[in-house]
Order: sequence, then structure tokens, then C-alpha cells
Amino acid sequence: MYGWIGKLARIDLTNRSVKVEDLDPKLAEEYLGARGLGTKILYDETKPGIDPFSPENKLIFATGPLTGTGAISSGRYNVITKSPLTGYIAASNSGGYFPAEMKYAGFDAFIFEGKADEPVYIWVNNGKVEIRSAKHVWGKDTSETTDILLAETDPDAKVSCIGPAGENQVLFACIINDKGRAAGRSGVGAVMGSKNLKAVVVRGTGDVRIADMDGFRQAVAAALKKIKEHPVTSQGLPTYGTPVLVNVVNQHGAFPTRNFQTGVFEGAEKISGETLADTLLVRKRSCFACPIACSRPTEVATGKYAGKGEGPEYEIIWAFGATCGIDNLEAITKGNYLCNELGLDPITMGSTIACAMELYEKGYMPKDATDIPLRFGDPDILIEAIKKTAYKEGIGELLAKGSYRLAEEFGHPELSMSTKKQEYPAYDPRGSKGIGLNYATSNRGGCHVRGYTISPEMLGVPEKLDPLSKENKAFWVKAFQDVTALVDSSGVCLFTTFALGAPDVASMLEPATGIPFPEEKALLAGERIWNLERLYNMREGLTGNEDRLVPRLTEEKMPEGPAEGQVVELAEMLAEYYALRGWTDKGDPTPETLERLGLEE
Amino acid sequence: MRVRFFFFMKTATGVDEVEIPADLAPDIETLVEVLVSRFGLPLKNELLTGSGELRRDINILVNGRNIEFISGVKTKLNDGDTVSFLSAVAGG
Repeated sequence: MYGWIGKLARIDLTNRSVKVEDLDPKLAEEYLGARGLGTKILYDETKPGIDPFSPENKLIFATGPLTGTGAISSGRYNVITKSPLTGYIAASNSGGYFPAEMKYAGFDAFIFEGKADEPVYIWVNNGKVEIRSAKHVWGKDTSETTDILLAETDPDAKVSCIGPAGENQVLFACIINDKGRAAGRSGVGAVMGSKNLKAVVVRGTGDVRIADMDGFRQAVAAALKKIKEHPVTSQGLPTYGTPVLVNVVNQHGAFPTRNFQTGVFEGAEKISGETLADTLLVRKRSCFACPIACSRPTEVATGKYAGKGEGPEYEIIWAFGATCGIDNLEAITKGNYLCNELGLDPITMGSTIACAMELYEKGYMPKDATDIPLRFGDPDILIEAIKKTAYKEGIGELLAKGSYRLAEEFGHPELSMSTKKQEYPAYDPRGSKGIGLNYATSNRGGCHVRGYTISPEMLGVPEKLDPLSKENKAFWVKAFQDVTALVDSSGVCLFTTFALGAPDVASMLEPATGIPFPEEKALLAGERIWNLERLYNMREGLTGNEDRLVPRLTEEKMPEGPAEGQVVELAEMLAEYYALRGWTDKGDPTPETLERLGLEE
Repeated sequence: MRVRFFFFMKTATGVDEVEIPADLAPDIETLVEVLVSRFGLPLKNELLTGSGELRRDINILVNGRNIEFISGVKTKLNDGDTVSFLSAVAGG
């Protein structure tokens, strides 16, 4: 095959056996790779209703046909499994250098099955797959684990691993590759921990075959030209990285503060991207084949929050900053380092701490229910809470379940800022209505990178949409969700879409794979993948009743700022969205829609 | 009124913000002229195209609302308003 390697490794951890299989070309053409391919495998190979932590659940690492090809920002892979946080599909995306190395080592995907009887790691070296003991790295953080495994395999290898949080099955544990890039959301690291799988180490000197090298080079050059000409991808992101959004979103009055109680944070200046650049930023770094280079290694040189590492990105500045009422950038950055080392999703972590703080301050959580006073605005408590969560110590035992289960425990599930039990990220939809519809309908629960309507609603890319209007948002949400599924499944980074669109992705897919990929076919693949995720979730019991937002967003008016008085008019947007998707008014894909997408049973 | 500069706008002006009386700049169109006159070519390049039109890729907010959804460059300004000039940036 071209683009794809054409090989999958099926790794049975229970029986410690490895089977190398051919990738079905039809499956590849219809579901591309990464998120799409992994979802298809999970859908076909697992039974409904399984416990996410049981050996019956599968954990799939999957690259896309463009991963490792040299296409723009083509350093991505996805981890797909049944989420322990939501009970629905999990597909978490990460960049860095591990994904390309997977293909150079000879595989499009790894399918991990069963459960090892003791800690193991996988060593993949140019097509050879070994299951090795990981007892000596169990309990260690992600950086130390990476260093030890590189020393005993190959210093040029690439490592993807879990930290203590994954081992302890914190419901939102992540998987860290290349020391700081994360398959972050929905608890994929907890599933890895449940299988006693500490790490995957890959090394390869192979290549990805390209069907039409001249055509591919031309398509990549044309895409690169657009990246270089677009002010966002040529200047904005490379210069400031994602933290630039602190001021943008706060200026719009949609910067969720103290668990979404308001949308304006008085301490925004102290934690802004500009402040970060002036104080803690060390340098810029890029993932594989990426001209944008948004990554931001930082260092806190001295003091009790000293450390160094990757980030914080915008989402983390918010999660440990505004929503916890904290304006101490060093503490926020330390929190980010801890999440990378311990292997935690910082969005859910921060939002869960914020939820706990509201429960505590309002008296819903008795003072004797927690071993730390969970007051908004206390940076030391933030750091303690993160550590306790990873090791499930004290209040950490409850925090490790995420905000929904925590709030439910104290009788106030409505204070969990989540949909489908996964926490919302850093945009209050009362100040940006389209993102509210996206949160409500995202197949993996509260999430911004399934349909990032913030781009037109606040950034003016590709055009300016009124963030406070509900008009036409259903169209944009569906379009963004389908394009994102295409991009994620191709193996390129979503950030390219600030400058590129489906035609550009399709124009790289065709010469890379040798398969015709007109724009319509590529977008249809994205829509097919979106609907398959929906079918997976429906099989797990999802109904349209869960396409909702918390009452705070639909009933409580924004108390101040540019979005003052606003709520999200979800019902109206949702009805329009279902119709555009070809779903019934209850949110089920119609037989005609499934037939159009080739998803009929 | 309070006029704030972010990102490349801040680099171009060298300041975080300035105070401009509304009678000197009663609308956005006039405010842009006043600012270009005060800060010169660096800011002009950030705000305007080669043909003198306002760049489409920047965002100007008045009290947190994009002028696109008020009255564009004709948006009226009053003392007490906050006007924010934002370069083309993104994140996620």
C-alpha cells in the first residue's frame, strides 16, 4: 500500500502473543486511519456494555495515511478505546515524533488486547514486536520512564507511556509521548494502566511509500504556501502559541471563571500568553514536519513551583487559572508539569478541582470530607490536589473520578461542567453559542477539538460569525465536526485548518495513497467517521437526551461582561443540527443517512 | 475611552493602551486615522491593507463586541468605552 504501511500488530497481553495482520484496503479507504480506523476496529471487535477496564476492552494506537509522510504537520496519531470517564468512544490525538516512528517501525496501528498479569512494555524495532517486563519502571513518572526505556532499547527510539495516574486508573489519566505531548482526554491512559501496559517504545528506519511523489510534493508545496501566507499559521501561532487566547477569550467575556460562574477573569493579564512569553518561555518547538511550531517549552527557575517542561497551553492556563480563580502563572505552569509527569488530563483535572472548590465554598461538600481546604484562588491547594489525585490519596480518591461523579457524590451533579461526563474546555458557550452546540453533540463529551467554532466566532477565521447569535451555527458545527474527523483520521494536525481546508487535505491524500480522493469523498469519510462514533455511543446506550449542556449554560444568564444576560439556546440549534445530519428529531441517524454513508448493517 | 493593543498591535505601538477622548475619535474609522497618525507605519501595516482598507484578518472589539456585529468602521464610540485591537491569532 501507499501512504499506509499496510500492517497492523495485534498484541494479546493476556497470552503474550503478537500477530501481524494486513490492513484491509477497503477499510483504509473508507475510514482512512487514526481516529477513523481505530473507531471502526473498536466498533467491530468489541461487544456493547463491556467494562472499560476489563480485558475485553481494546486499546488502539493508530496513525493516519499521511502520518510520517512529510505532509504538512503530519506527526499525529490517535488512541482509541472505550472511555472509563464517559462510557462512550474515546479518541485522543497527539503529535510529537512517536507517531511517525510507528510507521517507520513498520506499522499503521497497534491493537492491544486482554490484560498482562504484571507490568509490561512493548518494544517495537523495525517490524519486530517484543513484550518486555516493565516492573522496574512501574510507579515512575513519564520522563523517568522514557529515559530508562530509551537507555535499554535505543536512544533514537520514541516512547509513549503512562505515569502513576494511569497505573492507578484515574478516570482521566492520559498517555504522554515524547515527554510532553499527550493523548490527553477521556482517560485513555487509565485503560492502558488497566492492561498493565506501561509503555510502547518504537524504533524504525523504514519509509512510507508514496504513490505519486511528484504530485505529492506539489500538493505539500501548495499547502505550505497557504500556511506561510496565512497570518495565523505564519505569524500568530508561531509567535505566541496557544496561550495568546487568554486575552482574546477574556476580552469576549467567555473565559470561564470559578467553575463557569462568570466569563470575565480579573487576573487574566497576569496569566496571559504575553506574560508567559515575557517570563517563563524558554523557546519554541515543533512536532514532526510542522512549520507552525506552536509548542512552548518553559521553565520556572526558582521557588516552590520550580521546574521545566512543555507548556502550559491555553487550555491549561485556563484549567489551573481562571476556572480555579488562580492568577499565579508559576503555579499554573507547575501544575502543567505535574500533569505531564504524572499522566493526567489537565482540562478535566482543573475543571474537577474547580467543581470541588464550588462544592466546598457553597457548603455542599462538608469540611470534613476533604483533607485540604478547597478554596478558589489558592495555588498551593491546586498543586496538592493534583498530586493527591494521581495517587488517589485523601480527597484525591474522589477527584480521580472526574467532576461529574464528584458532584453527584455531594448531591449536586449540576455543578459538574460537563457533557456525557467529560468536562468542558476553556470557552463559555454563553459567549460563543456555536461551541455550546459542539460541546453538546461531541461524541466524546465536552470537547473543543471536535468542532472548533471558536475560530469563526472569536478569531474571525475563516470568516467572522457573531458569537452571540445562534443563527446558522448548526451548519458550521456539522461542517467543522466532519472536517475535523477527516483531518484527525488522515494524520495531520488540526491546527493546519486555520489555513487549510478539506480540499488541501484531499489533495495530499490522493498522491500519497494513489487512491482518488476528490473533496466530496474526503468529506464523506469525515461524516462517516462521525456517524460511526455516534453508532458506537448509541450501542452503549446513548440517546439524544445526552446531547445537552448543564443548566448553568442554558438557564443561568451570564452575570457580567460582553456576554451579560446571555444563555445558550441549545434546543433550537440542536433541532437544526439533527436535521442537517440526517438524523431523527431524537438524534438517531436515519436508515437513509446510514445507507448514504455505507454504514447500514 | 480606553484603547488597548494586543499581540502584534502592541509591538507596533510599543504600549499596552492609550486614552483617547471620544470627541477626537467619535467612530472606529476616525480612531484608526488618529492611531495611525500617532503611531505611524508599524501600526498602519498592522491595521490597513496596501489600498488603505481595514485588514479583514484583524479583530476590533468595542466593549467586547466585534465591530463587525455593531456597525463596522462606522461604529460609534463614547467616553468610557474600551476598544481592543487584536491581531490575527489562534489557538485551541
